[in-house]
Amino acid sequence: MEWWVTLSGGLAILVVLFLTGAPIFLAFLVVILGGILVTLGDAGFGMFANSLFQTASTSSLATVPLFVLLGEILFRSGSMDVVLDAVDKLVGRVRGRQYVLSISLSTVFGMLSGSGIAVAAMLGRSLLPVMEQRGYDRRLSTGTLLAGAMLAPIIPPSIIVIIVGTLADVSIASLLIAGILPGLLMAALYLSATLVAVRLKPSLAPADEDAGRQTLGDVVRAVASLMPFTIIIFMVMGLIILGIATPSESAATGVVGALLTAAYYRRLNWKMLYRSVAEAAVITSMIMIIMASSVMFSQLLAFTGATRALMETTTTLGLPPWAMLALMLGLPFVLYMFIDQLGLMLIIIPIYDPLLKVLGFDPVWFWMLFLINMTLGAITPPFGYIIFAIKGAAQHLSMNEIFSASWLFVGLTLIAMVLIAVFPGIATFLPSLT
Amino acid sequence: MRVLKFLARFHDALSDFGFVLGVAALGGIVAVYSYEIAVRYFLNAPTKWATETVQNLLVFVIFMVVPHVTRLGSHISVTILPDFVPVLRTPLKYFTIVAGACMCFFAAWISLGENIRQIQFVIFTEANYPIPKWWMSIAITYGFAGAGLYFLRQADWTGTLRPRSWVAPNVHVAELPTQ
Repeated sequence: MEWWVTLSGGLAILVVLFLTGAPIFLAFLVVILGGILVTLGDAGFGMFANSLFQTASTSSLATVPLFVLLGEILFRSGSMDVVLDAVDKLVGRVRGRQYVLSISLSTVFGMLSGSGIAVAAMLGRSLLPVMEQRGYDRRLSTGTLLAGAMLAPIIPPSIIVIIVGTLADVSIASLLIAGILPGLLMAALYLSATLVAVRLKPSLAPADEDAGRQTLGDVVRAVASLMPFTIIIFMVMGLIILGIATPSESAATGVVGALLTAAYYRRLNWKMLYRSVAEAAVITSMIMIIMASSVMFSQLLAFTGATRALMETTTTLGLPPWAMLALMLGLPFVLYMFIDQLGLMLIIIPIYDPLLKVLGFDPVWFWMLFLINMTLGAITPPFGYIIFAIKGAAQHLSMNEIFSASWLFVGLTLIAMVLIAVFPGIATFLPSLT
Repeated sequence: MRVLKFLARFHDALSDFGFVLGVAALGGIVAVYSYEIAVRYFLNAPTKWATETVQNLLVFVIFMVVPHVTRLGSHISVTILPDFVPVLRTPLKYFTIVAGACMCFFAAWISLGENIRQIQFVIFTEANYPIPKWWMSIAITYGFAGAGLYFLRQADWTGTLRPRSWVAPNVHVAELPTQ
């Protein structure tokens, strides 16, 4: 059978199975077990069992449950409320300060949790009602929350980065650190655009919002209350950058830091702890069963000769690198609007990974762009998990309102991606220091 | 029917046990890595067993919890068709049940074959402190078999075999696999 028939046939079956609503891991099992029976026969069963075991026992993937647990402890203990209060005090008396608060908080939450859904759900419940009550534009308010929540999977700690790094065989530490500057750049873009919008159209924010004048003591107390969280960020990122701990080990120390923080604020108890660990175990199982079930997809591609043929075809295409980059990011951009990020990512990475070597792209730079592109799918209509998280947290918003709120920030994110594509140093500078 | 109901409750209890074991394994990962960093940097005495222990515990976190996730109907899925074409919901639900049960049992059967081979040939893990490989890989067989049974139980329209959990009583146990 021709390689392109095998490849396109396999992909088509996967996408159709995804759309039926069957769990994604099942779709992979159908295609992979079917593929094994067709290409390898019984002899492939042992390989399948071994690929499941090897994936499930990859030590770098232990970072996934630990990052999830870190966020769960901070959210469930209510420690994040302390961050909310402190950042609220630190944002000055600027017109549109709730927008600034929304984006700043999302950035800080992103540094403490890798879950965009958690950030969207928390701010959608706590901050959005306040913004509406104070007369802020509902659409722009929703947009800042959507965009802010999108930062969580990009700024470390990030669960998705661990999966991308493991599958693409790129240094996870480098990929984690690479997310810092792009994340901050995106936050700065969102903030600037929002403030410009308020300046151009003052009705977007109330003129005389009572922010309360903060004394120097208030500011010092706010900064002091953020210190335990700064320590958590250091435990996660600092230990990696200094080369003291691997990402998995630093994630474990981050969990310990989160426990100490919850204890410091007298919010640590057995019930909260059990629920946090239990939820983290469930989320881990949900994510990792897909990964374990899908890993053999890349091996099957290699066995059928599709990987080698795809590389040869790419070489003979003769397209300039920028066109290939646009193609490799444009296709998933469209697909991510409709298909689950994790499932699609697990299909695309084994196909793209060998192409990067042919095209000579820096893997950290490319996968960071890919990651942002993928995360963008979470706020791009019609299907995006952050969109649904905001809808879940703020039931009174219509889907149309949320969709229209997202477009400005989709555009800004595309601008950020172009900047990172043109100036690779934004993604590669920090990893080059380690 | 009483026998089936008893077996269903036994399956639920077993899934609860697996779930608690998975949760404990996650706690174990935090403890082992924290200990490793502490002894490495404060006592300059790194362990030889931390990484391999975490690898083994991770297998348990993932696969011992899979039946519980299936019981909750919490597997990640794309629900475009069921959401937008309501008439397809029931056929797609039964498709998922059949595909889920068949694929999970098939995967469990393959994994069981590998477990038996590992026992017969006395295969150990490649580690500083090797242990029989099947001690961990049996979790994969358990995970797929338990999940397959939950898919199968979703076909019970009478509600007699409706999943139940004693360790997570507040969680909603889904009836539809696509929820």
